[in-house]
Amino acid sequence: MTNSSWPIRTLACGLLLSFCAGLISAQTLVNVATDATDPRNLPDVEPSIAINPLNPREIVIATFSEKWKATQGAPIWRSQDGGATWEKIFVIPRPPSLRSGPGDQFVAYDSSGKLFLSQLDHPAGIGDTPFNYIYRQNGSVTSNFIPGKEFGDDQPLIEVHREGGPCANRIYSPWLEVRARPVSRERSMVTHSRDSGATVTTIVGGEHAGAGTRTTRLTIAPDGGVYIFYKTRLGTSTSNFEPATFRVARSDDCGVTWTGLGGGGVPVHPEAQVQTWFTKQFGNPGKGKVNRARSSDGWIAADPSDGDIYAAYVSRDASGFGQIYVARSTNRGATWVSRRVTDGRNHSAFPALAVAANGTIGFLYIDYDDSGPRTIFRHRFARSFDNGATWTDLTLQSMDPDRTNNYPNEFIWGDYEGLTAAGNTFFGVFTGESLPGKRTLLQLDPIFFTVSAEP
Amino acid sequence: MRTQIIAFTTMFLLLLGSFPLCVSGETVTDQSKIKAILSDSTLWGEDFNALLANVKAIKNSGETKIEVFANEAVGATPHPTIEGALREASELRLQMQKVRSFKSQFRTLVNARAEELYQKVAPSAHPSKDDESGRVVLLSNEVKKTSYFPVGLTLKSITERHGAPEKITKQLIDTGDERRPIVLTLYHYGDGAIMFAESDLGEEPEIIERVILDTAKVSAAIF
Repeated sequence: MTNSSWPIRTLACGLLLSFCAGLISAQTLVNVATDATDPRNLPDVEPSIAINPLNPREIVIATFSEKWKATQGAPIWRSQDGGATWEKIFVIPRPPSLRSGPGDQFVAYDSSGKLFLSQLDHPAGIGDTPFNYIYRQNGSVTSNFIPGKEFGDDQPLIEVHREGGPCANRIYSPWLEVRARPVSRERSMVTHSRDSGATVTTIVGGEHAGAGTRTTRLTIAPDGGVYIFYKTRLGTSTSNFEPATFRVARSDDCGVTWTGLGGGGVPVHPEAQVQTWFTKQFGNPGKGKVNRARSSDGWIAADPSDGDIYAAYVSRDASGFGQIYVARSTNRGATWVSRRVTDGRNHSAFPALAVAANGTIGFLYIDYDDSGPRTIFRHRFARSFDNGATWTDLTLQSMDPDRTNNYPNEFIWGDYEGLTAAGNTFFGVFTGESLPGKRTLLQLDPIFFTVSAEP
Repeated sequence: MRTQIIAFTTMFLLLLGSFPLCVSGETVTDQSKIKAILSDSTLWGEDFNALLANVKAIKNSGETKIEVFANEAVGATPHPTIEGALREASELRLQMQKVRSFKSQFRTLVNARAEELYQKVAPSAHPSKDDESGRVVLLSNEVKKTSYFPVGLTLKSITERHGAPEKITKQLIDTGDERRPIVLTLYHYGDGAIMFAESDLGEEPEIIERVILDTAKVSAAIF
């Protein structure tokens, strides 16, 4: 870690604290969509979220919403009042491929408050494969963004290096390489760009002989270390689970190489392998709709206060349930200690992690209870104030997805949901049932929430 | 030629209208809606009648559903390889050569004209646009672009003529990767015999991307 970055970060956190104090109170839920902004009752699934570091009252959310057209961009959700109200801004134009889209997407701000988007277009037809793009802000955030150079072909996420030093404002996009590869040999990749996505360089992030790698997530530590988290798939799926090893690799050179922890990275769990989700049926198909969970079992985040790294992963343990563990490394990823966070009584998945300025860990996940006549999915949020040793948990929303009908079976909320932190507040978004009185038609909608990181 | 085909099909289906209910498998389907929609020439292209004339052959070749796009009709059964789809196409070709067992009330009329219709389309195989699996496909035999329904057909034009759908459902097309999947919104008519589908891939809402026909229910209405 560069010592010079610490005072800057501390000051920024202090400013954010004062901003956040005026925001929505803890554990607030907001229905992002309204009848006016979502007249077609779209489900707006697979949400991601980012907060402008210079103005934390400006928040953006990307969901699967309207398509881009020749004459109008696709939208992102934007709030200018800390999440109390939301508008759609149609700023994502068609990429040079002129294919339809967006497909997968993610959002991130740089240190100067400029917004970046990762986007995926759709295959144009037989034998075609889509492309990822980094879109950069072009002047005002409400003007059309500019797509950068194409790369890769599946699940692009995006993070921006906000710390100073040689990697300042370097953009990273972890993604899954599917093109021309059998499912068992798909690879975790990372693309980086020095120039806001105009040109890109792609590196293999995780590759192991004879095994595919998936679920690539990325975080940037305050010392400039960049970490990717991915799983190595070690067998075939049976009964919705497959053997895998969750690993972390580190780059100390702005994403040029990923050998900071040695070739092949470091496992975050003590077992040689764990059993994790690889299924189209997260849920009980005999009791309602279900969601796919193939890359919905891992996340990584860095503690901005001390540089500790946290990684969440799924392991079906002795409880017989798919459980989520959070592993902590205090030595830049070299070694890890993991603890189970979920309750051992319900299947769980879809982890998202964030760490607040004060070191509190926030953890968003989904579990389900199928003991009754219907499957009830619960969006839950856990906090740890002691570096992951103990956790307190609250349920943000319980829902029976069959009460709503604006989405298909096997894709209720998508592959992941959104969580971030600014100052000592967690900001998140999940795909849930529209809040009472907020929509004429009960439906799935993006639900924004905040939770305090204070004990 | 197109006028003749439309006139033939309209007469053919009007004759069928004298049978309000028919047992199809174990379910009783109201066939009047099916006949009304299938005989509505404003909804369909010039090759659609040829497809209808072969729907029983399609059913007998093993397809429970056929997905009709503006310019091609695709079997709903995915094959791991093109070779598998080609084998199904061969079986379909044999089925298409068989004499149809039409209902007695219109056997003479249909048999006389159906031979022309059978020959207008031919089975082959190619990868699916959805998931690249091998699929049997029916295309026009003539040197022109197949037209099963006009590009730009809207749900509005259907509901204006045939009323609101009986049911609306969603269907996922998942290709096994992590990409945003295709989501179809299905508008059901005739107890699911005909499902008009919008794709969320489309830039404009309410444009029909495909029509899914239940081969057993449609056959029962026609033959």
